[in-house]
Amino acid sequence: MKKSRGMTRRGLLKASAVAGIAAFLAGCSPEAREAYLRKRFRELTADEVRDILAREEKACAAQFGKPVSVTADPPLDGVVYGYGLDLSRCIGCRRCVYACVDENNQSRNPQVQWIKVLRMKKEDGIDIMKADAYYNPALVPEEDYFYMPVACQQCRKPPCVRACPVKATWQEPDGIVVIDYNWCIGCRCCMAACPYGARHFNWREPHVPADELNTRTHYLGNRPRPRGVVEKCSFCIQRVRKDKGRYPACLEACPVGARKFGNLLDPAGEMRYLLREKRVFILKEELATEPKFYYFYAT
Amino acid sequence: MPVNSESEHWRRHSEPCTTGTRRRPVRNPASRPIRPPILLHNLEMLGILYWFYDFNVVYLGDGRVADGRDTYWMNAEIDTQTETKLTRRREILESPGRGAAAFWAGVDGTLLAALCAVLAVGLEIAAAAPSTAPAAQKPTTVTQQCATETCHAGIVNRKVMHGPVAQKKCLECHKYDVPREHRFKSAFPKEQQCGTCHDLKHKAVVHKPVQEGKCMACHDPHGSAYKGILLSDPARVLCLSCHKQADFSKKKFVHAPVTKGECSACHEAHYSSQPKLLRGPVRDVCVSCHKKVIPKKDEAVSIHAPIKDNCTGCHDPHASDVKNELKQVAPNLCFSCHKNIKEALATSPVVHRPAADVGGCDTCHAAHFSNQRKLQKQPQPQECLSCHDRVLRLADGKTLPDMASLLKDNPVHHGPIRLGSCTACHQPHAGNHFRLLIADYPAEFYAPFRIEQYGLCFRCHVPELVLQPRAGGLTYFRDGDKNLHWLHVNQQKGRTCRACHEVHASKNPFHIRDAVPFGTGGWMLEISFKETPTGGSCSPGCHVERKYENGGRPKTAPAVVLQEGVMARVAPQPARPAAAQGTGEFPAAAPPFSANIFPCTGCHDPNQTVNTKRRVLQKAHADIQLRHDEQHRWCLDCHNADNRDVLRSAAGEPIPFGESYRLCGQCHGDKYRDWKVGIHGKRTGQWDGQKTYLLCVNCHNPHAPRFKPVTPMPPPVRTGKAQ
Repeated sequence: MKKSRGMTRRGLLKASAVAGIAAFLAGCSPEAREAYLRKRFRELTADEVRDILAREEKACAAQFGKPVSVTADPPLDGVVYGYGLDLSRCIGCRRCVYACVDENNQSRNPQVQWIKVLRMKKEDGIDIMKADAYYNPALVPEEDYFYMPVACQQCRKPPCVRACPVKATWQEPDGIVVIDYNWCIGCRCCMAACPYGARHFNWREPHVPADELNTRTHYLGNRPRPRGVVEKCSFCIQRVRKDKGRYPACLEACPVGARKFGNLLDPAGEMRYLLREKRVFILKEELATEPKFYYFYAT
Repeated sequence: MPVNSESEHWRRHSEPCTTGTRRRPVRNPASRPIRPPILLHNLEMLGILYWFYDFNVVYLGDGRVADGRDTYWMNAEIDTQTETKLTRRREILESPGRGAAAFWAGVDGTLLAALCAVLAVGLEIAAAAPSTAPAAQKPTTVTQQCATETCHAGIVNRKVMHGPVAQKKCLECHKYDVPREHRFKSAFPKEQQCGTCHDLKHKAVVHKPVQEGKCMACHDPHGSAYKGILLSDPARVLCLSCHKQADFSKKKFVHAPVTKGECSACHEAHYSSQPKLLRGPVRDVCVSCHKKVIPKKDEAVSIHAPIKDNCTGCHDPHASDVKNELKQVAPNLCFSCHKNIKEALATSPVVHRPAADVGGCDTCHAAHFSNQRKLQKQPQPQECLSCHDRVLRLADGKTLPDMASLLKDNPVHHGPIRLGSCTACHQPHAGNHFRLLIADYPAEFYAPFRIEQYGLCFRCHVPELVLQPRAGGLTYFRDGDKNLHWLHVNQQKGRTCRACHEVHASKNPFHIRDAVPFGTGGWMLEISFKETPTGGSCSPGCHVERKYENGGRPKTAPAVVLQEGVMARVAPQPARPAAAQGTGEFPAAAPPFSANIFPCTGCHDPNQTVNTKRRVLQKAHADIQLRHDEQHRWCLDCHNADNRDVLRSAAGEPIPFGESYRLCGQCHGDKYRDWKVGIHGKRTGQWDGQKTYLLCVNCHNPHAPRFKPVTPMPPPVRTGKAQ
């Protein structure tokens, strides 16, 4: 009698675990199964990337009712992107904020804005504790105040990348810190780690009106995000990563020309000129994040 | 055909054609016939005649092969019936093959008529280019070498060959059906044929032969002497074999590609996304050769709308009896769209003769585009003076003077003429008023006053001129403030404007006439107008000299008071951005001119003396508030008094408006330095490629450059707790 023990408790637990996973995988749709079982983005082959992009395009087209293109343009050689912001020119009009919202398909309700414009008093200088992001006067710029837009600083030593437990965010060779929204588990450790408050979470299902959707998207950038993932400024990766690429949307929207963008490795470019000639500083330098977003005064 | 597989003697007799030198080629029916293999004697008695897809071949019941064209079937053993059939067969093959399919099908009913139709034409053509190789034995096994000196030699030495034929890959299309009998069938499914390799049906408009699979209507499947392995050249002959109505040589003017027979210059042969099988949209096809019809960017001020996409609206693309292959002769052609002008010409009492003449529209208007408004060939008044430079006689005997000499000999011109506009007063096509005027004007020199009859003049001039007895700044023709215009015009025997003023030009100030007709005898009353430093005087004929004092007219003051917006209406000069942009080293955007403001010389007469005294402008440009170092600078420090169409540097050097950054950079050197690199201001375009600079004035108003505050966009929505 003792011989025929049958199933032990341990055996039962193992078997039910295996059965459970098998049932789960069997019960999923093929797309979901592929999504769970796929490799990390950086380890995918070109064909697999193509399949994933096709799947994403189909899903977006189904969701928004219009054809959406999702690309995964690789980084260009010999390029490290840098951004400059002229504090002597910014008037705090927030046109960059809304241009970014349009270009990058950010949720309108609940509202997600990648750029935050901080208003500070001129006599106090840059003091984040006293900064106000919710100013709403009748006309800008106001006397006695200056304005500083803040978005992802694309650090060279990004704390967010170190904090991510699943490596859903990493720094690309061209300097942009990107997020794979399909890999992100939504734990928000990166948000806690970022000293600039540049990362934003989709607490609820993001809502982008179909007629305002920007249909030219990048897999790591402005494609429509699902609920429960983190997103942030990607230097308009869908625009800049093309040969003869365009400027980021915020630069084109700025009415006073306060924003500058270019290749930091190009000795003749405007970024190197302003780094050489102008008074330049970075935010929270003491944290040694080495950002690529430079604030400067042109005068 | 039953084959005795145990004996192998069929192998012995199945050498390929290449070794056929052992067999003597037989052409003459009287020479030695071919001995059939012994095996096949079985069927000799049957006398069966087989007709196959490859009807090049006729199988005789005894195993021999025969060809309608070859004659080695002349064998005593063939029965009469077979002989008759073969004879008929040969006749058919040597005649046009189109009807052959039906005939053959009718003869024995075993052929597939459709396939025969396709192959018939091919064979007909092949028959037309006879092979010079002597007839040889057909091989009885699968061979790779179909074209040798003895068999099918002519097929591979054509000038232009079908790919598989050139590569001698006959088996791509001709699949072996029964190798032993050298019998073939098509390698392709019935529906597809040529479409197996050539995909020809994937656009909207498909040529009918292509749609029906009748490739051989135009092409020889093996090769031909003509490009595209067409059956004949030029293509016109081939196209005309079906498109019989397209015989254009009867018309006078024929489009060059049509003359040369190059239908394919414009038309696709197989399929196209455009109607009529054009190679592209109508305009693109025409412009691919006729590039000059389309103006370069910014070259044209006015563009005739049809050239955007409707060349064939006016032109017949093939041939026409009208020059330039127009469908009709002008003006009927033009009237098909410009119906209002047709109506005006038909119903108006006064008509401009060139507008009504045959080919008349062409006199003044360009057909496609022009650098003048309204497709004029030249600017006014040169356009008009090209005819009105001699005395012209009208149909009713009246004459029109030589305007060119009139304007040349008399230097003081009426305003519209100075601004270069005849149509300010005259209708170009037809009108209701005498002398083709656009509004009322009395034809006489004296007329009782009615304000309505001077509609023409008061399109520009202020009517208060003749309505107010007292004049302040209205006119210089006043004695003190007594309005002398009102005195002369506003009465029962009112002097019309023409009584004193030459309408077009004269030698006197204010273009006052030398003399005016008086009475009915044709006597001319001299006016003898003189302008004095404090006024003026006339000595008109009988009366004593009459003087008037108006305090003097400053030389730099405008001579007349005009209504608002007259300049823009009379001489709306085309904006010429090319001239304004200049050839600066920076690719800059265009200067943001207000409408109709440029070129400035449209109003600023280059001959007029400039008032260089610093002052606040009141007469014109009064809307400009100068808030740009107005303590030290004023207009003419930046604007060039000698040439209003450019700016000036501090040294007086002219700077085009498109390079205004050089002017700003003189004082704002640090901004200019930063602007050149892209740090100051904005550049649009590609971050690693071509950029367009925005000029200083694209952002800064040059008269009040400081930015005004703007309304900010809404702040972010606060979620949950307050900060």
